[in-house]
Amino acid sequence: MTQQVAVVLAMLAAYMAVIIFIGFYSSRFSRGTMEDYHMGSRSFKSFVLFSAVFGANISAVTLAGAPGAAYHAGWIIWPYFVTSWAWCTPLLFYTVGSRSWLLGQKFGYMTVSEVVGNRWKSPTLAVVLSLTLIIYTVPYLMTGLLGAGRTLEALTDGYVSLNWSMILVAASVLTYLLLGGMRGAAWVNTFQTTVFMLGSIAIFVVIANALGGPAEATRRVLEESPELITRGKMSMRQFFSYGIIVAFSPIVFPQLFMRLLTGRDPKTLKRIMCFYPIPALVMMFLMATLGMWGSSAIGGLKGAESDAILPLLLTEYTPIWMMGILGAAAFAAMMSTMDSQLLSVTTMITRDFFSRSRLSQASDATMVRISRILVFVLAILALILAVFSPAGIITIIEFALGGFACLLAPVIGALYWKRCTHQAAIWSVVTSQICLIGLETGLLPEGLKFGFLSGLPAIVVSIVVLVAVTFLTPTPQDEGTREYFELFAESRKG
Amino acid sequence: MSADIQSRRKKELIAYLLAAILMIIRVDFWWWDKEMPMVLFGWINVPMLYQFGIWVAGFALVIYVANFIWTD
Repeated sequence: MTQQVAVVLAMLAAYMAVIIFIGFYSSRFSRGTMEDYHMGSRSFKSFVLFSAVFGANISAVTLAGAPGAAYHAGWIIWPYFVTSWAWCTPLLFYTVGSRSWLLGQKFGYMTVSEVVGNRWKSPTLAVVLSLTLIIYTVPYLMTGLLGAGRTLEALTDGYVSLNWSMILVAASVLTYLLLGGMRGAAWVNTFQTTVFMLGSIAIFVVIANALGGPAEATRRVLEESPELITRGKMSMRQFFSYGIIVAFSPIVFPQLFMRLLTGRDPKTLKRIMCFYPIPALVMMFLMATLGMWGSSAIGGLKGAESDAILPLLLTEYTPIWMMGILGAAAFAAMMSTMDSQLLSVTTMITRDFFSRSRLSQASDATMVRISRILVFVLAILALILAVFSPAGIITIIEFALGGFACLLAPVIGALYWKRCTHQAAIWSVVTSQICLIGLETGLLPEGLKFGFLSGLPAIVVSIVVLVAVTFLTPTPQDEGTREYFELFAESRKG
Repeated sequence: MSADIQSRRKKELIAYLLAAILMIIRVDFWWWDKEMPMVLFGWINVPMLYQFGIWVAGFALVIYVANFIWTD
């Protein structure tokens, strides 16, 4: 074992010990109920909630995917995300978050499927939505493992293999999640968000310096690969369509949606809404710019290999002790998303499936035990999938995000449109997912994409079908519709 | 419907319209694939500044919605 490997492993071990300690400490505050394990008793204040929400959103995409994509496509990768997602997602905190939070407070809802399905008291819709959300969350979860695994593998110069790296990361996340549930995850995320935000700034400053300063690093890119500056590697249609997809999808991420519902009051949500765009811009700008500079500093990476550009730059240009600290920052970002995803999928399975079975009679303590087992099983499943995944992080994410984005139309329909029917919501989900998968797998002709990413035509299908089927089916007269709109009207009156 | 709710609905509509416009004009097709000089610090060009401007406008929209539309 070289000195580099020993130092990196020691620092990462110290970092893991801190987060496991936080998880352990948080477990002392556990109330042993489902509400507490999955929602932290809905008591989070602004800073913890911001860290939990932002940590759930900043993932392997930012610390591995964005620099990796910028390595091949250039600086356009930061606006690819930031000039839509960074401000549109907080806007949707208002559109979707404010009404969902009200419903969560009034009826105790925890998941997207409960909020949408109970609008029409439709178990079928809730199950269809849950299944769709789980199907897309698992590959997203896998990208966290892949990103963290590739980072550790690169930082230790291959001493810890990709598979062992992923096992180590999964084991750490599982430990604090099994101990502390949502409260443990949120507290750990507060620490992790601080680490990865400060760490990213440090990474940028150190590497920019080592490359001769930003102007010199950019000049070299301009000389060797001018298309990374002129944006010749990305089509305008791809840029446009991804803007829509990346803006529409995060609000329906189960992990993010659930965390919005854990806010103590609307003021907390408003505060995080106003703060959210700033770190989103800073993080993406720094990481994508580093990835672009990396193309001239470390050439020759093919396809998904570029996901490891950040640790490779760290290995090449920073002192050994700093690699450990900065590696921890990368880990923090990836783990904070993984823990929330594991918890949210578990919540969906227990709330949307088990609560409709014989298990609905089980005590809270039993359900919490079952939730813990599910967290473990899901982590193993994601690990197995990650071991066999050959694709780059951004490729997996573009597909998963498209799937999530198609669900926004039925969510808006449930919260804002009285005339909307549950049949319309079900058909909107089903047809848009068929369209997305058909276009991605080539079962539907490529021409139907019109040069856009598959997610965009699928979103259009979701909206058109929602509107068309709504007008083809009778006006809903159910109890759920009345309850929802009375509650919204009351809240509007203040 | 009270005048207050009507006024809030109007503000909401304007906010969503502005959001849609921003989503469209973020694609600066007129500069796409063209080599532009670095005008700031030797490493920031005009399209980068333009994209930053889109973020600023979006951020302003978020602040507006949080303070003038979303009531507790």
